[in-house]
Order: sequence, then C-alpha cells, then structure tokens
Amino acid sequence: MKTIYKLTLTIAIATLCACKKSFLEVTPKGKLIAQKTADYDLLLSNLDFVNIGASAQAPMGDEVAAVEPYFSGSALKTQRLFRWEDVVYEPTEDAAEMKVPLQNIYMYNKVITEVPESTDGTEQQKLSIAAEAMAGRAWTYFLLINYFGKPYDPTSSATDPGFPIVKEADVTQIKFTRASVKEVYDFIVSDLTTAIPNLPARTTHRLRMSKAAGEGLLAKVYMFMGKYNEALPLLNAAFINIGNSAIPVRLYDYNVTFATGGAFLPIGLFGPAYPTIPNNEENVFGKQASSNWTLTNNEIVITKQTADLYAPTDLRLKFYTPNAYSGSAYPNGMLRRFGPTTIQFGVTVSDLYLLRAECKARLNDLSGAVADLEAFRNKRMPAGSVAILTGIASQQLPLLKFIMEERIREFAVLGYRWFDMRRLSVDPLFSNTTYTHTLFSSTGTVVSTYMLKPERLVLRLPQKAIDENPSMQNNP
Amino acid sequence: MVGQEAQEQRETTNGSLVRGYNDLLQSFGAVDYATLGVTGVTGPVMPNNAGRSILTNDIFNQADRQTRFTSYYANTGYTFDRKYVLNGSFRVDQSNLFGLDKSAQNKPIWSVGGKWILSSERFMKDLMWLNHLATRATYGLTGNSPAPGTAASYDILATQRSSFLPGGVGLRVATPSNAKLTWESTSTVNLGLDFALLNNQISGSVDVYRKKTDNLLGYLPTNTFTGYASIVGNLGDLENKGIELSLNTLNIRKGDFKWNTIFNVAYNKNTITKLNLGAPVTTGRDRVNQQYVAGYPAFAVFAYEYAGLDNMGDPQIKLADGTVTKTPNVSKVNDAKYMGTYQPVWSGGVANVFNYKSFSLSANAVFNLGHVMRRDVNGFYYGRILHGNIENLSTGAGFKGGNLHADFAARWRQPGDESHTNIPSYVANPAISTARRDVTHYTRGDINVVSASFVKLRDITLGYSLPALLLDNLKADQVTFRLQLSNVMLWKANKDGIDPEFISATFGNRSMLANQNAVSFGLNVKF
Repeated sequence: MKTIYKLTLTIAIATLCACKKSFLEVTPKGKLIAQKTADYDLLLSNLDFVNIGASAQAPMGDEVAAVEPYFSGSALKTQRLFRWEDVVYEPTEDAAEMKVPLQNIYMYNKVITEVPESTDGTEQQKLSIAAEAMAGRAWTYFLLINYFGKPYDPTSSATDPGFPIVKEADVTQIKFTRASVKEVYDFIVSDLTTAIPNLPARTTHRLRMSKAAGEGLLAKVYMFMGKYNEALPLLNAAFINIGNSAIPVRLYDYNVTFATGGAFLPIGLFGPAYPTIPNNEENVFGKQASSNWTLTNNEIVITKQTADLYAPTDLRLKFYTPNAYSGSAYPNGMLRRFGPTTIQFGVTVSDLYLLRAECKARLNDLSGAVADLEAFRNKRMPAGSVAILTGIASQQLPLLKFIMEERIREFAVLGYRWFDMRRLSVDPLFSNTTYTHTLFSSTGTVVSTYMLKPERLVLRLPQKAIDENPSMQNNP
Repeated sequence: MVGQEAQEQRETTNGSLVRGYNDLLQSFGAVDYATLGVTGVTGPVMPNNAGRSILTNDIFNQADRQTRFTSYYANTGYTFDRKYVLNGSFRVDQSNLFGLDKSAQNKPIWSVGGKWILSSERFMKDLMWLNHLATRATYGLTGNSPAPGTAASYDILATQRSSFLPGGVGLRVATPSNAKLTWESTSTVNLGLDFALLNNQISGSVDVYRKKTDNLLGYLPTNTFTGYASIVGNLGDLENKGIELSLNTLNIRKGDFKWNTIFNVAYNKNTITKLNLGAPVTTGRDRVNQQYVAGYPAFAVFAYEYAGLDNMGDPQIKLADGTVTKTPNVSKVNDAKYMGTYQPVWSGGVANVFNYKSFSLSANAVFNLGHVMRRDVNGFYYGRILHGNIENLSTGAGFKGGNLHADFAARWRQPGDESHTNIPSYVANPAISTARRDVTHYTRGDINVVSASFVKLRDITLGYSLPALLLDNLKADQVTFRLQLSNVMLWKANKDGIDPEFISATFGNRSMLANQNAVSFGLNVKF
C-alpha cells in the first residue's frame, strides 16, 4: 500500500512540475516585452517619435508681429513667448518643449542599451538599429540644447550650462545635473559620427533615419558650431545619398504643384493641400510639431518687412492670406501664414539646400553658393525671378544676408528663424543685430514693442523641473 | 489540506466595420485605406487632420486577453479538547501576467490564528447566562501586485497601428519599467472576542486590528528629466488601526411576533507613515492636489484658507504668515490647510427585522461619519461660453459639455459684490484671467470643503409569504410578495443638497443620482 501512495504522490508532483512551465509561458497578446531584434526595430517606428509637440520657437522669430484683439485672447504661453518674457511656463506645467523630447530620449536610450543583447538578429541589423536610435537621440538633444542652452560659442561653451545628458532609460532616477553646452554638443557629434557608418545607406521611409539624414543633421550641427569646413563634405555626401533614395526625396517644384491640377491645390480654408509627413517628398527624416499659428490662430502674422522680402511672383506667397481665419483683413500689409499646418523640422531637403549654399558662401565658394541657391529658388518661383543680382552674388556678406533672408522666405512662422537668430548672435558677421517684436492694434497702430534681451535667446527651464531638482541652476 | 489549482481565462472580442453596407444585398464598398490613411482627402468641410481628413484603417479590430494562474495552497486546522483551535493557511500564486518578475511571482501569502473558547472551560460552565465566549488572535500577511500591464520591472510595449508608419505598425512604450517595483504587502494583527449571552438573545463580537501596508502601490510622480511624469510604483507605507463592534439582539419573541436588531459600527484611523516622492512638494498648489501626505491620513483633503474676493472679483487666500493675496503661485506648502480625509472615519449600520406570522418588515440604515468632501462649485470663470469650435470635431469636444453651474449666476459682477458673494468674477480673456488670479483659490478653498457625513435608510422592506394552505392549491413551494423603498436620505451634514455617495470628494464633481428613493415591488414564486 505504502509504495502505491508514494508512487501516486511522485506522479502527481511530476505532473505538476512538468505542466507548470508550459502552462504559464503563454504570452498575452497585444503587448510585449522587447526581446528580439525585430522588436527594437518596430520600437523605432512610432508616432511618439514623429509628433514632437514643441513649437515655442515659432512666435519668437523676428519675422513675425502680433495683432490685437487676437493677441490678448491668445494662450498665455504664446503671449509670453512673443514678448520674450523671462518666465514662459506655469510653475506646475510640463513644458511641451521637454515633454515628448525627453520621452523620446528614454526610448532611444532603451534601444541603444538593449539592442546589442537582443535575440534573432544579425550583428549588422543590431548596429543599424542602434545607429538609428543614436541619430534620433542626437536630433533630440540638438533641439533641447537650442531651447535651453546658450548658442554654441567656442570661447564660453565649456562653462555655459546646457542640458542634463541622460544615457539610461530609468524612470526611478532622481539625480540630474546640467552638462555644459560643449558637453552636449560633443555628445551629439559623438552620437552622429558613431551612427553614420551604420545607418541604412538608402532612405526607404521618411520616418526612419538613413545615412543621408544622419549626414545632413551632423552638417547642421557643425554649422551651428561654426565649423563650416567639417559641414561641407557631410552636406555633399548627404546630397549624394539623397539621390540614392528608394523613395522620392526632392524639392517640390512649386511651379508644378501650384499649376492647374497641381498637388498643392486646392488652396482651402487651411491653406494649400500640403502633403502629410510620410508623403512629404522634402522630408529626408520626418519630425513635426503641429502649429496653430499656421492653422486657425490669428495672433501671429508676418511683418510688412517680411512680406516685402518676397518677390510678387514668389509662389511661396500662396501660403499666406491677408485675412484672419474667418475674420477681416490685417492692417499694414501683414499676412497670416496658412499651411503647412505642421512645423516640419526633422531633416528636410529645403533646409539642406540652404545650409549648403550658406556653407559654401562662408567658405568663399560664392559661385557654388549661388548655384545651390538658384537651383533651390528655381523650385519656388517662375524662372524669370530666380536669378540673384550680381551685386549680391559676388560679395560674401551680402550673399550671406540674402541666404538668411531666403531662409525667412522659406520658413517664416515655422520657427526656423529663432534658431538662426540664436546662432547668428555668436557669429561675428551678424552679432550686432538687435531684435524687436511689435504688437499692432486691429487698425495697425503700434500698441507696444518688445526688445529681445541677450539672455532671452535662451529659454529658462520650467519651474517644475527646477522644483524637482533643487540643486539645478536655472538660466538667468 | 494541500491543493493545487490551475485556471485559465480567455476573452476574445473582435469587430469589423465596412462602409457602404447594403443590408438587403449584404454588399459593401471597396475602400482604399492605404491612401486614405496617409494622403486622405483635401479640403473637406470638417477636416480632422490639419486641413485635410484622414481615415484610419478601422476595418477590423481584435482584442485577445488570456490569463493563466496556478496556485499552491495549504490549510490546516486543529482543535484540541474543544477549547483550543489553531488555524494556518499558506498560498503561492503564479501567473502569466505580463511583466511580473520571476522573483515577484512567488510571494507567499500566509496566516496563522488561534482561538480559545473560554466558555468551554470548566470554570465557566456555571455561568448560566453566558452561552458562548471566545477570544481570537490572528496574524496574516497578504501581498498585492500591480494590475497586469500597468507596472512591471520591464518596459511594456504596446502595438501602435498607423498608416503613417512603415508597414502600418509600430511599437511604443506603454508603461516604462520600474526596476525598483516591489510587492505591496500588508500584515494584519487582529484580536477578537465573540460572545453570546442570555440564552443567545444577545450575541456579537468585538475586533481590534492593526494593518500595516508596506510599499503601497500607486501613481508615483517622477523626475521630469526621466521622460515620464508618473509611474505606478511603491508610494510608501500606510497604517490602519481600528475597532469593529457588531451586536445582534433578539429584542422580543412572543408567540408569532419576533423583533431582531443587528447593529455594527467600525472606527478606522489610517496614517501614511512614509511617502516616496520623486520630487519634493513645495507649492501650495501642489499640496491642495495631494491626497497622500506623510503624517496625514490617506485620501487627505487640503485647501487654501479662503479670504474672500477683492474689488475685481478675484479670489484671495490667507497665507500662513497672515498676508492676504490673490497672486497666483505664491502659496507654499504650509499655506494649505488640512481639512480631513474623504474616507469615512466612522461607518456602520442598524438593521431591525420584525416578523409576524407570514409578514416580515425590515429596516436597514447605514451611516458614514467624520469625513469631508469638496463641494461642486462653478468651474467656469474665463473663456467663451460656447461649445468647442468646429476644429475640435475630431475629438468630439465640439458637441460635449453641459450647462454652466447655477452658481455662475451668483458670481461677482461689479465692485461691491464682494461683500455678498464669494464666487469669483467672469473674465472673458483667458490670458488676463490666468495672469491676474488663480480661480482655484476659490474652487479649492476651505469654504468649499464640507462634512460628508450622512445617515441613509438603505432599504425598508415589507414582505408577505402565502400560507402553506394556499401554496398547496397553487402547487407552488413558495410565493412571496415584497414591497421595498430604498435609499432614503435620513440626515446629511452638508447644506448644499449633496448626496455624499454621488460626488467625487477630491474634485467635487457631482454625478447623477441613481436608485435613490426607489420603490420596488417584487413577487417571488418557487415551484
């Protein structure tokens, strides 16, 4: 009898133990923990990396003005940004300029640290995925340092406070210290130089990093550091790789897209029919922030001076309307931008054209600069208006100024100007410029003007972040 | 007894959506989701994506949830000499629930208890009025892990479908990992006394307990630079102490008439003994939004000390140093007052049951006392008095939102009104309103925290059972008629007509009353 008992017990225990493992090892569907290399690849495809939500730069550019009564009714943050006030964020506000970017840093860090240990992938695949994440992290840090750190100045950046460098995906961390501006730039450059050799050689999808995008981004970073010699070969390489894309990556020819039956027609209440981010052929790498100032908000317009920068035939004027959204015409010839309703600020072909023209001009290759510039302008206006006056084309400084104006013509109200103003402030050729913003009444009289103080080229860190990190020094 | 249990639960739902469906022909149209999802349609009447409309691929959806558990458990009980009882239980649960660490899977749950039946002792035998007397003591440990998918020691990823993404699919971090996550565990010490007196006409029990919860699970604010605002984590430690009394008396028993009373009352005091916060709380504004503060009861309510309106109709508060201000964001932690907890301190009920022949009448009242709540007040002080505009259609906000709170009519309108109203003025321009004042000084002010105590008649029921003679004719086993009146408010401390059972005490949002003062009639037949 006893043996039978023992036997039964043994069988029972054996069965229990045997079935235990397989019984519990059923993975719930719809959610997962990343293990395979392919999981990390999919993790780089998601809309959190696309919709950045950071648009503070747009109302801060000097190409815009504000108009009453819309301005008084606009969001407090818009008003503070436009007035270049010290405090922009409410004390308990999660700053939009940090929220998604920092979440993205978390995900990029996760991919970078974990993908080498992932299963079912080749070494090359792992290197490529890590490279994409590093380049994405570099893009994000480049944005953050240009909000919260001083413009890169080789004489002081080693001591200028920058932004905390976070390399680990860990929500329980509580100690953060601001790295210097130089450290952050070095981190960005190191990420990109490590990433570029391993990035996918061809652009296959606009929401994924490619070699062309990595090179273009690093070139832009170098230009923001004033290192034009380093930037130019990268820009050239980027253009070669763009030509090698698996999908069309090129400038839209506005002479075609705005002609009868063109892709940007019809021009509706919300501006021209501009393509969405994955379809936008000018995106080498897509990142966007939606902007109400090019959709339905009426408070921010371009100044008369900005409007006057455009030749009357310039087709980019199609992105402007003289009227407020469901409202009357603006005074003084000011125009409201309508469309694109998102700020496209990943890596764009238009930006690369203008950066290369500038880079060549800075390195005294004036004819090369003019060639790039005219090739670009050729896609934006009828052939008759493209040429640049010889008086400008033949001298470095006037040509550089013209290129800066071309950047305004191309990117007005989209925030690019703010970042240009920052870097020009440490550029000896432009550094004595002063910037003002004007608020107009509905009839066009000046209500107030605001001067940009040098220290306000930098956003102060949100109070919430300072409260959480009491030892952190805020910007003055 | 030793046992093992295996369990599986599986839920599958799926749906499909076709456009242009003809019910009669059962035919439907062909839709190019790939194009509509990215290119969409330009210039529609009501755009949903910045000047164009995009249609996401919603043709099919499926949700599949499969959970499996295995448990091992053991129970043991031993009675010696009908006087001493020992109990013990032990249990281990394991599951496939996602993201639980192997080490977190095997947390054992156990308890031990002992009971001494004093009335069985020889020296008590002579007490004729005492029918039963026993003392009990138990000690137990229970564990609690976060709900599946809400927290884990690994990052939990979720699928994201969008035509924008390569292949239309991607992954996102749904829940960031918390490497420091551990079980919430509660140890309970319970001492009890059971008794029955006077021929069992009075019986009842008294229990005293202390529950210590360590590593309480909850939303934990994190440091901004981590990339996330909060995670599910271990908030801190909590202690509950209390006493519970229940009494059952047979008041009258005479012939066919019987009257029973059941009474119970419980007192609970809890205290947050430790709180882990990723960031220190320094502002009054943060404090009035806090429910957990170390040294205070859980579910605490904090409020500003309201100091009336100024001559612009802006709400002012009195700070701890005595200054009166309306300036937003100047208050510090100490400027917020503790008002109480929104968890009932005293709770209980009285039930009376009368029986006479085939009739029965029962009345059951409950009470909750000693806690507080925020009143529901007007929350609209700036902006346009309109429904959302047309661009919000995609979010549905355009057609939502009800009427304004009636208090809006009693708001400050002109200088001098501050002498007779506490309700802030309306300022059309949101930017001016936000820059000049903080309306939460009023909405979260101490004048808007009131007692939530109440006594309610949960139900009063009259029943009648048909006598056996009639039942035989009907060939039924039992026929009962029942008339019930339920949820009648007997008394409430607040003067605002708020039923404390239908308000969110922290935010002061009233919800729709349901099943109050309800009369129901029932007929129960058994064959």
